[in-house]
Amino acid sequence: MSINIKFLYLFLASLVFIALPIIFFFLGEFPQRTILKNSLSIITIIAFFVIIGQFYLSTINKGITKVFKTFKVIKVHKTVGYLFLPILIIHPFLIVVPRFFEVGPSPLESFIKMITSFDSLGIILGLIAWVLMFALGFTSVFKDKLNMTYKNWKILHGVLSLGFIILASWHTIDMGRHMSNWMITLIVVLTAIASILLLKNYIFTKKEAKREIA
Amino acid sequence: MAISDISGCIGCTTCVSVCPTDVIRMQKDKAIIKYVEDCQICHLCRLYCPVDAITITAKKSIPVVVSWR
Repeated sequence: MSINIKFLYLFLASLVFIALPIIFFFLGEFPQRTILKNSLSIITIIAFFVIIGQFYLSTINKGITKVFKTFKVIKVHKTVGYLFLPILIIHPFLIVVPRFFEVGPSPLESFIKMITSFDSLGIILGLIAWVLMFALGFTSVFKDKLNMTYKNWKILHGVLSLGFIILASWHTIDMGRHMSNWMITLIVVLTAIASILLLKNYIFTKKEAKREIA
Repeated sequence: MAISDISGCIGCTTCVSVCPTDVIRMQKDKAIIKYVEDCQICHLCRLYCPVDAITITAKKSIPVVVSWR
């Protein structure tokens, strides 16, 4: 019975955070692009949705901690973060990779033009989200070297995650590449639930702690 | 064949500058295809776009000129 519930969780997670985005990507009426460009897009899309999935694959999701052991959830959360966050960190560089194989401006020129297009809201959102994401990765890798208590680090991790996921979702929707109505709906719903889950957990934990002290 | 789609535009205005026939215009912070019938399929916009946001497809958009009998 327990194995069935675990299997169901894994199946649902794979469906929502990997299969559905890929299905929406292929069902969307997007223009035909080269295999390289499509592959880079799919890798980035999967990484983005898996990172949204990190909210659900953590101890703030009380449902998952009832089925899986907490230390296992934390272990998988860490592993997934270390595997997929680097993909999103290098994602701005991946965009200009096709420039190596095409005539026109060089990859460096293209990259500089891209990150200095401050007239675009999507670019500004993307830059802020990238900084938050980098801080998220940095503070996770060097957690032990930071002079912080675990409680304070957890708050910092939550604040950075929340800021990142909201801005990153807004950035992806604003940029509009591969964005069908289905894809936008999926991003909005998953981000909204993840944000509520995080806020609910942080606010309720604080209230419970205060009640225990009283 | 003509310019058919702009998605993932960063609003750098390069395509607007390079288009010899003013097919592309800016709308807020995004480039849009304004006069597709004027597209001469020179591919300059696609080649100069830093983020490969422009697609040129085999869709017929330039009307074929047929002489009257």
